[in-house]
Amino acid sequence: MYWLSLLIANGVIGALCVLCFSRADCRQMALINALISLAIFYKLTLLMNFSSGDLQQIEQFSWINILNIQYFLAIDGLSWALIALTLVINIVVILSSFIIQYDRMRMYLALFLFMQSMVIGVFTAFDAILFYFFWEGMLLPMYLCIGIWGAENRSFASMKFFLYTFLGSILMLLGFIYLGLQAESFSFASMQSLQLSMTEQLILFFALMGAFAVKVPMFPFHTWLPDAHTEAPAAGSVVLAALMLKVGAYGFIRLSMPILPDASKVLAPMMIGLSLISVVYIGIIAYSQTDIKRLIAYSSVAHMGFVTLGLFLIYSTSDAGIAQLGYVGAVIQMISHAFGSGSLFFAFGLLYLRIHERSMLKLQGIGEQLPLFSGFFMLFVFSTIGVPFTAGFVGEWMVIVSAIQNTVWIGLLCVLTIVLSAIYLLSMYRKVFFGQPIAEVALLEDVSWQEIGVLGILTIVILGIGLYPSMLVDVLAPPVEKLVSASLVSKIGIVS
Amino acid sequence: MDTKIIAIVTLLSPLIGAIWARTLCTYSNKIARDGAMVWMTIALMGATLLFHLLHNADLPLNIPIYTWFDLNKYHFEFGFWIDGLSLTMLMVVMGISWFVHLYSYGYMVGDPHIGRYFSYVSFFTFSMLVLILGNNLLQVFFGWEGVGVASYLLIGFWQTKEYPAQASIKAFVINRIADMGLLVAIGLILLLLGELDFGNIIHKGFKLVGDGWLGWSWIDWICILMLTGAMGKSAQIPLHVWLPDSMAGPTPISALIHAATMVTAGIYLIARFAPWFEYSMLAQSLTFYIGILTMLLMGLVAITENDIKKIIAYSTLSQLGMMIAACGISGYVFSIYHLLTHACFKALLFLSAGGVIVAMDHEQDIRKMGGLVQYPTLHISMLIGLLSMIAIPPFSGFFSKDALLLFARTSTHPLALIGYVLLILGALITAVYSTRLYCKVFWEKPTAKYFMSIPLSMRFVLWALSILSVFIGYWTIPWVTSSKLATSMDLLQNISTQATLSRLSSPYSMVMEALESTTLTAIILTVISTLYIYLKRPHIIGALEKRLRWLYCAMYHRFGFDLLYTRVFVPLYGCLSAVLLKGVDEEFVDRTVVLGSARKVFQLSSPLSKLADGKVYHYILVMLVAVALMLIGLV
Repeated sequence: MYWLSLLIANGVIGALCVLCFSRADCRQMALINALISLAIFYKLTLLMNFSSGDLQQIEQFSWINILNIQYFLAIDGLSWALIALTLVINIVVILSSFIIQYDRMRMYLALFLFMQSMVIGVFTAFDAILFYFFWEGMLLPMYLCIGIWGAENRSFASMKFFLYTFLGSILMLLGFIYLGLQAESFSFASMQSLQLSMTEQLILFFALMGAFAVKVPMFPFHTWLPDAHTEAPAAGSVVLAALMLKVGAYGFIRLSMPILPDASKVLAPMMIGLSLISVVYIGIIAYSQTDIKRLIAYSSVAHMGFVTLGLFLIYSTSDAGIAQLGYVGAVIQMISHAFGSGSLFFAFGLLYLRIHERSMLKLQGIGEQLPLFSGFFMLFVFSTIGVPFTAGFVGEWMVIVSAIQNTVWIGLLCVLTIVLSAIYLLSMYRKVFFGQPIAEVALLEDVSWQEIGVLGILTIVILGIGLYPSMLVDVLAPPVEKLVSASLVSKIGIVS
Repeated sequence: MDTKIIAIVTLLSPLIGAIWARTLCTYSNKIARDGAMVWMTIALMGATLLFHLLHNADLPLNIPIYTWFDLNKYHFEFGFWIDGLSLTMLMVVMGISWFVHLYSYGYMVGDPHIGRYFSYVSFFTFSMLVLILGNNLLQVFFGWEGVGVASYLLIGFWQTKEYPAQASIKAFVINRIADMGLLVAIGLILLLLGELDFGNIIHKGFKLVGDGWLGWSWIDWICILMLTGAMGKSAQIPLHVWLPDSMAGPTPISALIHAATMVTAGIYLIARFAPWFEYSMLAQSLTFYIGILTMLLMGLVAITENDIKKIIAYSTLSQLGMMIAACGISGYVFSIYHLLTHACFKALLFLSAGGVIVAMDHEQDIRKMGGLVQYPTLHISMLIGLLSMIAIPPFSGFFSKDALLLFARTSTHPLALIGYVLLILGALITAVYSTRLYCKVFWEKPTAKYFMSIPLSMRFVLWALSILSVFIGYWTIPWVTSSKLATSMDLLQNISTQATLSRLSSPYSMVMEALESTTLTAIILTVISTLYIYLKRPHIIGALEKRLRWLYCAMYHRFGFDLLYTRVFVPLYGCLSAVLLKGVDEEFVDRTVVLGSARKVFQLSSPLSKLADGKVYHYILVMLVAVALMLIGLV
């Protein structure tokens, strides 16, 4: 059975169904579709062999013969974890549509179902052109989402988002074309076995980085993110933070590092430097934000810095254990950041629904008026700050500890995050949640049972990863071991 | 019953209580509160049982529970590490936590968020248990941060007021600054030893001697970093500023955070790694000087402070400095012993102060107090607490402080002699501020017209803690002098520790000797002269304030530490952040580079501007055409 294709197709079919057939309540139809996806994923999980790092469930057909382009889907532990993330986030988004009403609901839900398929496609495609196809497919629904359901300044933000990321992906496509013509095949495996000179690798690295660094986003390519987040609707922000940013890091993992190991090694100091700037500099400027969504967006950039940091640290150590610790930490940081920032955006969406105010200077006393809501929000804040017992701690801690073992200076710089993030997030929490409720706030009602349900799902995931990361680590370790060794094999004989 | 099960029940009961109270507090405060109390009682019984079963057993006991994760060469397993040190801490933490729960029944009565309050207190206890029972450093870090979170929540409990909001964030951030030290230490230990389990690292300190980084050996680095962590939690100069401000929380919390638990975490950490500190002379002397500095300066601040809770807070800082300094001269056992008695009498002092505040209808300024001598419960409990703190025999504080001084006198440690002199000075300062507090609150003329009555649950706790503060020092001598505590810190070979312990095992002769010693005489003389000045010759104080204007100012402004933080660091950070945001991020990166280049492109393509009509599908079309052209070109 072609479970992967089925999983991808299911979302697209669901999107079409929601768009064409549903009349009265498209939300239930979307939810049923998401549950079917979950069932397919469950079946897929049963078929997986998690102790092996090899590709499984391979579906390989030739697509465009003349260029040797294939329809090539497969899955390994890393992809599995990211698909699981995608599905959970999508369920949260669809459930949230029961709470937050929008006009043009059918189109809204169809977009998210379509986006789910595209994101899963990105995580399972092992052919460059197919990968690019899904990559761009993901972009459009997000553009529409911000452009249609966004806040006042939405057209500027969506345009900035679209052009910025599209420009990056064009560079990536050029890189793919060059690689594909050299390897005479567009599958990742053949690109990986391709011999490339240092100059070629460097140029290609920058081409691919154009797409990935914008998506992550790394400093200095991050300025689209605060605008996009600020204007996007709640669910759009959740997907943007939880999934969109992850595909950038995934690109580095799956493409840049194994295919261009020598360039990655040479440029690792630059990548580490940019990551550290993300962590420290963005951490400092987040403190001056007064728009709550902007602040969470900046904190996203700072936390995604840990992902790229953990990935590129493998080039500065000779110890496989330290390298794997940082690498697995980076992947776990991807997932825990998805839930940390995603939850914050979602929770803030609930607040925005009530009061329509994003500036923290105009809010006060939420904690007194909405005690249950503030309890959940507090937990998400703590997860983002990286307090133990929550998901946010695990990945961050692994990367920090790996960095300290790697080079003490890098460790000392990135450990600053535990102070910086505490400063900006708790200052925000203090301004918004502490104090006497102001007149507008005093009219608000606390979260309903439905909202508690969705917040509860996020809470369980966050605490689950924090208390028992073993389930994730065990799944990730075998593929990571393979990826790390592939990323370290030199392609030009002697590496300087 | 199996030790493992008892340990798990003891650990998890407060957590269950916390979850119980947090989920039910919106439904019924009463059910939330009572449930938390029940779970707390179960935890206390479990802890007592654990102590009873294990105090004669073969220690240390390592009970693994579950694997956090396994990856390549790393193996992180959570579990319990039970030895003399953790059993001592367990009893202290559970005992005080239980008393604080009970006391809060009366103190917090009528508070609309009492359910949430109990939930936070129970969570605090849980985190503390994770910290002291952990069998590896990572688990300690879990508890360590959990305690920080709980203290943040509790200090900011009265969230509608301005001061608690400010104090809570201050406490959390300053603790986090210190936590960086512990986190880096954990990383370095992993680098050098490859694991964090106490059983496998505590006795490998010798491996870290020698090689190092930037001229210091690894053991120096690791111990100093751990000391940094300890300085945050145990509030040592210059990271002490959070503690006086944490008085913004409810008074029972001040007792819990200051007396029994949070602030002892740092001392616990140092004692736990005592074998390592023994290898690092550098870290030890740093520990010693920081402790001494905190003890003296904060003791002086306590003399001029006027808020009753802050006086006790500064006295806590001073006593903590004493314990830290004792660790600096290898007196770990006596440091822990003083921690134990201090937990009792300081909890008593805070809870009495809470009683005073309730009786004075929430007035905290001691200048407005007086005449409370008509409250026998408050008077006696406060008096016992103060006498214990001043170290008058036979109160419990006497045994621990005298043992500490005795150790400093007999120790062969190079810093011991100077330590002995300065510790006595610290004891004298303690006598001054304690006596001043006592005079101001109880004996000076009353200014308030009426007094409120205190609930029974509060009175009961005060009586119980009074009894403990009198006797706990004496009762625990067999436990302290047994080899259990010293073994857990690897001090069986330490001659001066053993000598002092054998002196301690005959408390009667210790009291007799002390009565003839100059130390006690000096302390008593200080008390009497302070009493005389405050009650009979108050004008002397005014004269002193005028004569020693500069010293008084320095003390009154707490030696400027708070000003340094609020007037220098915080605004500087704000400025830095704003400048980076406006100047670099928005102006340079976004406007100049990103949007600027976009504008350039549009300008250059102005002949094509008909295409640039802002419709995305046009752009897509153009791009697709371009891509197609490129594809064709490449093929």
